[in-house]
Amino acid sequence: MNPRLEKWLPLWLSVLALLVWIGPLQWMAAHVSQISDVPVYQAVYDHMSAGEMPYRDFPLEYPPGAAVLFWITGVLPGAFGTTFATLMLFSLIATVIAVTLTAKALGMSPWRQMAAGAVVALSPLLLGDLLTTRFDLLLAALIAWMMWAVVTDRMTMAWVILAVAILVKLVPLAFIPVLLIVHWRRHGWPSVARAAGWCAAIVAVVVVPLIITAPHGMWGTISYHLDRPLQLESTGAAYLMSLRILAGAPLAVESSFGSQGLPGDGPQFVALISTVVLVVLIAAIAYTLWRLLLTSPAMADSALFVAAIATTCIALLVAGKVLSPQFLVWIIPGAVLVTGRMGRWAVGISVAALLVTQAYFPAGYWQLVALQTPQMGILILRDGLLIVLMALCWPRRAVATAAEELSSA
Amino acid sequence: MRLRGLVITLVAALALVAAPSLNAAGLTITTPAEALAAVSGELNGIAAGAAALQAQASARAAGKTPYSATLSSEEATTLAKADQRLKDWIADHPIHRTASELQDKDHRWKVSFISGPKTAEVVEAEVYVRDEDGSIAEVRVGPQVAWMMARGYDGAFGRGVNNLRVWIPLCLVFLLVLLPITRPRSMRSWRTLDLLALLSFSISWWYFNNGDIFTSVPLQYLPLIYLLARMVFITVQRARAAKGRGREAEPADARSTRTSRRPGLPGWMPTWLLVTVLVVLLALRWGLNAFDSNVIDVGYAGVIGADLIQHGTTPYGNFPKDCGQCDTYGPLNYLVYVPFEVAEPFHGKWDDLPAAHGAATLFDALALLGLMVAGWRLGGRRLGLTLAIAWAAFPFTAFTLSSNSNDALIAAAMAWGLVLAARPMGRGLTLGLGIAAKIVPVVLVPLWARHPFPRADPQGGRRRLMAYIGGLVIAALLTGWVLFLDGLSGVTAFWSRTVGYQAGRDSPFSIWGQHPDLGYVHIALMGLVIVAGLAVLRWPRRIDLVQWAAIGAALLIGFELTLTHWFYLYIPWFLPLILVVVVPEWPRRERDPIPPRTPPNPDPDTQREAATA
Repeated sequence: MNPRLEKWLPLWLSVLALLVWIGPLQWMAAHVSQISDVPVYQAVYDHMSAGEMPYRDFPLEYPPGAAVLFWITGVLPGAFGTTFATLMLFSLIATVIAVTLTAKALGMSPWRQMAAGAVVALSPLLLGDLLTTRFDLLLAALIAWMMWAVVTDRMTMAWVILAVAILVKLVPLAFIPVLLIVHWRRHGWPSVARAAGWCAAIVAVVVVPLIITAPHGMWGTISYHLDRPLQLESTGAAYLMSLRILAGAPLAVESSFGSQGLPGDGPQFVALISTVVLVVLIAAIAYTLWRLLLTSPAMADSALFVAAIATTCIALLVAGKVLSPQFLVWIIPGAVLVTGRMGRWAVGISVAALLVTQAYFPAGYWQLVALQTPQMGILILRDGLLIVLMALCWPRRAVATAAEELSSA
Repeated sequence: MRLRGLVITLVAALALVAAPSLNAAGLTITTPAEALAAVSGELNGIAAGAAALQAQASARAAGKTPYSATLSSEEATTLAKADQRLKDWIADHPIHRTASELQDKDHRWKVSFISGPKTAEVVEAEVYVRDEDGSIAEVRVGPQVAWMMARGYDGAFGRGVNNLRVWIPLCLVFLLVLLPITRPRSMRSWRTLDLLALLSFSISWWYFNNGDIFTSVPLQYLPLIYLLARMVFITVQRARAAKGRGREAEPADARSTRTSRRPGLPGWMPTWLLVTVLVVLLALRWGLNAFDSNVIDVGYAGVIGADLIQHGTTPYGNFPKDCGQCDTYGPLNYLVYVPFEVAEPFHGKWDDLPAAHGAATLFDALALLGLMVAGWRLGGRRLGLTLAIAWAAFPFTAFTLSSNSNDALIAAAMAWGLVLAARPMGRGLTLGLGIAAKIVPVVLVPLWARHPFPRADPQGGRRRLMAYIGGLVIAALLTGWVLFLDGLSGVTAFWSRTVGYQAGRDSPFSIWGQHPDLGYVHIALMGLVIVAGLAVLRWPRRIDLVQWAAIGAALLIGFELTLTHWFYLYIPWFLPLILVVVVPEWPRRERDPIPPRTPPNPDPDTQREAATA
């Protein structure tokens, strides 16, 4: 690759992301009908601009960091939807830069760096216009920068970014075991305690006042997520759909909690099992990472950490009881950075998972709600691809070996 | 009845008197039999009309709008008689009379075709005719009249698992995992045929599901007989090899390469793929059981029995009327349902019975785990996974699971018996628990008394036998107390409700039930199984694990061949033993060590010692 191109790769890829956003994505937005969450976000801003406090004066299903994002969006000039989309564009560019820099820090070849960044830059096209109307790109950016911080050994910064990510969306809580283990391996427990203390302090500064002033509202947010039924697109639902296709198992869909879910004792049991599986998976990933770090050279820990974060992200999707299509953008930064032969496969499967998602969402979504067999088949395929992707990204000896080879090269 | 008799007599007398004059006039003579039939038909019509009037009156009394029938009794009977299946059946089973009644609940005419003398009438067929349009709703012929399970109702046993979209992929996975498809030449083997024979029960099952039990029943014997023959053949072959005969046929290089005594694995799948396949299969099986299955009377029996035990009552002789013969299993069968019944209590009716689902899933998991552990110990991790997949992919184990029957409990006993084969007490305990669940494994008591390891210390034979008996006794003590919950009445009821009921059972699901004239053959076969069951105490002289499993499978199959009521749920009984014999590539059996030849010694004491040794 041309050295100048290689030097300015993050910039070129950011330009690519920008071109994708202002070109084909806008065309797509104009021609494909979308199911948008922006009105929900705007309603939150409207409440706050009227002097109401989230959790106390009105319920909010998201953590406080998301409320801050909605408020910033409303305060900035321009229409709410346009400003929100612009902020998401910035998030995308930030993700592209972080992924490219992390790939470089991991010792990946320029072409591999370009492939990783390009997949992120093209992700709005691969997944569809829905990324402009959800705030999941912000989380993707935070995950990407957290990984960059760890790979470049800026551990305190990684914990601070993690704190912000937790405040935006609760799911990054699942990264704590992995981050703890890799930090302990590099710098020992005193350093871990200091950095994790920063993380806890940042979260506490925001959350504790809210718990004091609006305990019921905060609990309402937690119970909202606990009470949600098995969502239609989750892997558990895909499993029940496969039983329906194969053997005609009875299944029904109901609209609740702002989405479509599967009511009844059976799906509830599956949701419980999937939550147990999620906990087991997170523990297993952390255990695997710990065992590998003990036996691998220090140069491999970054690659193993990235693989562990990627796997945790995918596990959150695979075993969660809610799997909205926009969640797929979380997995991209990690999956495209997995080293070794499996990493190359992971890039391909990630792209396939995004495209298959677009095959049913949004165009075929209501057919899926009606439990039409083709759409159920597509969903089962997508969720199957995610399980394969999780297996490919799983931290293993080969990842460490590939990282050693990259370092020595 | 008196009026009917009077009318018949009058008509018959009139017919007799009028006959000569009619003949003279050139008219057809009505015989007394024809006259009786005609009058009988008329009377049936009158009776049906009266029944309809009575039903209307009852409906009026209950405040319902009375249903006004579209068809008359005669019309319904005529429509019923036109059905081809009925015609085919009554061609071989002459009918003496018909009876029809309008069913109030679904407005269908039930037309019964009855044969036999008045004192012992047999309903040969029933045809259900829809009153609204005169179409045939259902035809039941022969055993289908009395036996609901012979009617081929959709998914009557296990619901969703009967769907071919589930059944065929299961069969394919079974073959795909167990056959060496990457080595096509190796596929031309007895193993391939054995696995196909196991799957060939599906042909009989397909006919059964279509309500054609006169085809399904003969077909079920073909794989049973084949598998029995194969197990006997394998046993004899290994016994001959142990004696040293047949070794000449083995090439010398094969002997030299035979370094390991552990069995090999014909499968080709890497471990990660085996794990994935197993997980997918378990998700499918257990998911089907949770979301698209039913509980047959066996599972219902287990839940009721557990409920009775919980209330301090022995199950034997105390079952409710709607499951009157459900106390036919051993005490363990009811005990194992207790924890599930505590978690999901019985509501006094045959509802979803979640306790039965839980128990059946446990039995399935125990059998699968037993096979996995047995395989792991015999041939390593991959063999363990392969045997577990073989269990999980075999469609009849899924059929058993989805029917929420207790038969996997016997399979679990067999699988764990294989795991504990080297421990006489464990063997006895496992077999004892199996017998305490379903009596059937009693046929294995002599065989399992033998230690299936030819190189074991021959001096410890008595000690091992005592340990084995100890295991059986422990199993009896662990479960037998259930019989004494109501004093001695449970003990007396136990024999008549279990062995007594099963011995006198009548069923169309065997050739013995369909052809009672084969009674002598049946008795002879039973005698043969008993003799074989005892003969294995001495033959083969030195038994190894493969022979032990093969003979066990053969005895169970032999026992099943003698059953008057056989069903597909019984296939899993012998499956673990057959899988352990058939799936691994067992090394050829080494020749048993020959005792050193003693030089001729005139000293009689020395000769006596040598003979004793």
